[in-house]
Amino acid sequence: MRNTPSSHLIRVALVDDDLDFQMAVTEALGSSKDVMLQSVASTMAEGLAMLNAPQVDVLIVDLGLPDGSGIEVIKAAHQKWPECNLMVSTTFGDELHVIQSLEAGAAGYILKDSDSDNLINEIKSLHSGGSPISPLIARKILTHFRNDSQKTILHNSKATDPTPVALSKREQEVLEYITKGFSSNEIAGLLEVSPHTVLTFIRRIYAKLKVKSKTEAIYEARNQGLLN
Amino acid sequence: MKQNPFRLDEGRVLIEQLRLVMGNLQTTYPVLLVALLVCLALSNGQNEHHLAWWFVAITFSQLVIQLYTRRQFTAKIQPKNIQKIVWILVVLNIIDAILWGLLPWITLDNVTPSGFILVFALFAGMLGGGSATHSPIPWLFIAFAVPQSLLFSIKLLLLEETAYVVMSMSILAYFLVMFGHVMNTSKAVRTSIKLRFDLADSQAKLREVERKQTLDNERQRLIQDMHDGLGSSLISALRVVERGNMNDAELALVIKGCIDDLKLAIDSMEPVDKSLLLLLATLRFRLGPRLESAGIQLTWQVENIPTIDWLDPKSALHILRILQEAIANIIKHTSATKVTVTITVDGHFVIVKVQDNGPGFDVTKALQARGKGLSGQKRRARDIGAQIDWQSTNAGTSVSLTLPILK
Repeated sequence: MRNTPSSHLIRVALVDDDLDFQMAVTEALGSSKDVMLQSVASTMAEGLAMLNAPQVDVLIVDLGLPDGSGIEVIKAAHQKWPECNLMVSTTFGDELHVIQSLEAGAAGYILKDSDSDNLINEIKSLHSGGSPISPLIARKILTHFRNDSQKTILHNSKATDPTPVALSKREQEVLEYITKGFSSNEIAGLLEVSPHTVLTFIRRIYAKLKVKSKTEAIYEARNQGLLN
Repeated sequence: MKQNPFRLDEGRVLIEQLRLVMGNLQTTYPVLLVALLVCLALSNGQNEHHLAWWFVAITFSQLVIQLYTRRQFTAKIQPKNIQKIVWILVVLNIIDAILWGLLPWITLDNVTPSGFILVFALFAGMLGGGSATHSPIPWLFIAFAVPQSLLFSIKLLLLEETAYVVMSMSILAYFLVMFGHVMNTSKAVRTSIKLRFDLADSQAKLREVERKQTLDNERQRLIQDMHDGLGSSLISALRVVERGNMNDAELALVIKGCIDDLKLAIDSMEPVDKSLLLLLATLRFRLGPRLESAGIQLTWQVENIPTIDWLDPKSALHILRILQEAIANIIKHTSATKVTVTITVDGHFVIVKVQDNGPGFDVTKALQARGKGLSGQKRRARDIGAQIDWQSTNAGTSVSLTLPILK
């Protein structure tokens, strides 16, 4: 855990051009004692500039910024604020947007219509290790990794294949329970582990998804002759 | 279908025909060995000079054909070049055939009867082999067989002996038989190639029709849903706002309902792989926060259920809407503090039950009441071949949706 003097206070930064959402976040965090909104940006340029300041604990980024993609901010934040938890704000939490953000390195997402209690809870749970995952996304991730293991069986030991990133048995179990509708707390009960452990599993799954997309991107680029 | 056998086919069929010929041609190298052996066998003081040059010429011609074929065979043939390639092969074949036809002119005057038989046998072999090699494209066979046959039979006629004249005639007859054979084979080859293309074409067309049909169904479903779901929610919200008797909190609730409608419509379009459990899990994920903020505790009791093959986006949306309505009713109209969702298998049915601990209501009255509430749920259930029942006491209400596993 972080041992800065303000370790109990979660500092948050927001990059989103949606003024109403900015207001909702400002209000929600203003009413909370343990979460604090440190800075707000409305464009990609402002967001990138913001990364020169000292790092915060949680950064919330919208993907559709007026002057570019939030993915760029996420990638830059990864370099400049390596310990910051990245979160994407999305309207619907649909598969396309969420998987894209996770692959870019986000550790979770937040729905824009969440009420203020939910907003604070999501930020806190992300900060403490994990973030919620929707059943559809869980299914998507499962098939993503499953297809891959089949592929490696088919073209075994091809030298140019990306290093396979596999899910552990426990991580798979967690995802399977999520596809059946169980919440993290219920899964903790079913697996006889602490809720915190379940969140850690989810966090690790997200990390693997990112590594996988990166190795695949390198593989793809090599295939297309962009790298050698 | 009447067709001119001498007309070259359209590009893609001709390419296939040519590929067959080219494949055959790749196995004709041994003919050079045969030519060499024939030269050695027939060579004598009178003809050895001519035979040596003949062998050089025939080797050269054979190599040109082989190299040209190999180059075209490995390259991707463009349909616009195909006729040109065929005509180049025709010319190369004519040159090759004239060379073979020269062999009798070089040797017949100066060899023994056994040598004579050898030449005759070689010719028969060339014609037979040529027909096998070139049968997919008759023009190539004609180019290869006609000059040889003519040169050989003319040479025999010039020898002016009855036996030779008979032989000359038999060569022409042999050519005609082979020609007939080639025409038949090429017709069969062309038909099978065309059938293959026709099949691929009609399959592609079928897929296109299916794709359009799917798109169309999907569009209609979306329109229907926008109309019944989001559209009607928005309109009723508008009416209430116009009447001015709604406070901000109530208005927020209506708008939240609209957003939920939209999310469910999006969820119903995500592929759930025929898994009802995944669909219901999605519903819980969506509606869980609403229950939580209404202070209602949710218990989730599910068992593994079989996949449901008829679960397409349309029926998925109906199921989601029925249960969304059930949960919305609990939040809106009851003071329940607990909700239990159970999903069980009973024989050939899956039963989804939503139970609350609210004060209950009169089911018969509610079903007769105007508006979309329970009767809307009933209509949706009927549309997907499911059944919905309510049981309400003053200790709580339970809504059961019974879905057939097979339809």
